[in-house]
Amino acid sequence: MIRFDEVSVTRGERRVLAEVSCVLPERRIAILGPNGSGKSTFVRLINGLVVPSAGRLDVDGLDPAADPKAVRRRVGFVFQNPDNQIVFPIVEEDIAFGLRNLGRSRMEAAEASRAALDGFGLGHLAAQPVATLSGGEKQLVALLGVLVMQPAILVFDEPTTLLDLRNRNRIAAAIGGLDQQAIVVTHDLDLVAGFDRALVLDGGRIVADDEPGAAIAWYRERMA
Amino acid sequence: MSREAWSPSLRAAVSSWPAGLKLAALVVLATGLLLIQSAAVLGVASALVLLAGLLVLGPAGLSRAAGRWLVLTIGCLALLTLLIEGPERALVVLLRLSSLLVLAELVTGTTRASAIQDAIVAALRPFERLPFVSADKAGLALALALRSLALVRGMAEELREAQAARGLRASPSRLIIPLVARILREATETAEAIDARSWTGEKARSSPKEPPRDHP
Ligand SMILES: Nc1ncnc2c1ncn2[C@@H]1O[C@H](COP(=O)(O)OP(=O)(O)OP(=O)(O)O)[C@@H](O)[C@H]1O
Ligand SMILES: [Mg+2]
Repeated sequence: MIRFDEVSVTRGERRVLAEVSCVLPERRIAILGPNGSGKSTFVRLINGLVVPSAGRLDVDGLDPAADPKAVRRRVGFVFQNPDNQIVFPIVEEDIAFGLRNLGRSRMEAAEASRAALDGFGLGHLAAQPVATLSGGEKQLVALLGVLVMQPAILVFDEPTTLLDLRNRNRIAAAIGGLDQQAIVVTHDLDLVAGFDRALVLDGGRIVADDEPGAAIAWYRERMA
Repeated sequence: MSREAWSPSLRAAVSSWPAGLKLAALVVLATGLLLIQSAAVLGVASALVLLAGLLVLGPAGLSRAAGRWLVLTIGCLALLTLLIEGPERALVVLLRLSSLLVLAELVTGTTRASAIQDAIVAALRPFERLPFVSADKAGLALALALRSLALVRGMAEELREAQAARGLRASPSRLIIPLVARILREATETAEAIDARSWTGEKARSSPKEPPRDHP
């Protein structure tokens, strides 16, 4: 379970996040809010990419600030731009990268990445250069590269922003089918319809926290 | 890619050679090219390298490797040498740099980045007892450097087009600042993504895998 305890993040003079407290036990949680409201900062805290200036976080009993390595084994993170998170030039070697980081041998990692690609219906892409994939395929590969590491929690920062409708739907379906807890930052309000809970951030504070229908209605009205 | 090669079977054969062997050959041949001072000998060596490049990579593969900016840079260096040191030295510079370029593409174009990474890690592992040597870091750094070459080439092209679309004529001085800014920004994100995927920069210990947590 993820717990924020009066967490603040300060950048220079600016308070990017101001004494945020919340507990996040639900399986599907959306983070909404206008540009610059602190959404990315909020989710980056969860795997220790950002460290609190004050306050404390607890992720399944671990403190991301104190032990980011252990936390990152539990928390997978999918970024907005797949170009920057796919490290290797060939699809299957990128999927294998995360597995090797978990200590698998080269053979085990290669086999597991093949199996994962097949399982996702992407087997035909295994040997393809990443540079030649479409945006949607890239984002699926990025997601799969994180999924094969079997994190207990998945965090997405605007996973569908760069995608067309068809690819957006593929990613939405992939997120919907996850067994794990998923925390999704998005401006795509349709994506969060079936979620369990939505937080709305504004100016570094949680300004609404409800089931998605109510939170979205509140957000729409507020932003109009 | 293979259909662009003049000899796909040759390309496949070279691709199947061990990465370590190819890297070692690259080091030896590149050193050789740097040591040869005679324009005539260098001419013969360069012709052989170019021939190998054409056979294995094909003209399309070669021209992709070259790229406009790289060719321009080599051209400028040769021109400078011509002005300062005369035509023979200029020819030497031209031949040497272009055959180094082809040699490098011969290796990187036929070898997976992960295989190069593994070869570097294996080669450096014995030296890890020395201070400041980390085989894993060096391996990933090199694999990333190779990946970045292709990315930077693509970025430069995109920026050039974006500027052209705004009616600006392309010039290196206009390109360099946005290019560097973008490289740094994207490098930061890539570094975060690598962290997020549990890369620790040390030989990963086999750790028991934790099953996904159940949710009600
Ligand atoms: N390193 C930094 N230095 C200074 N300011 C920063 C830094 N990182 C973030 N900020 C500021 O913090 C605020 C929140 O940023 P954050 O990226 O969390 O917003 P966001 O809600 O994800 O926005 P978007 O919807 O545009 O992605 C922004 O105003 C941003 O300018
Ligand atoms: Mg953001």
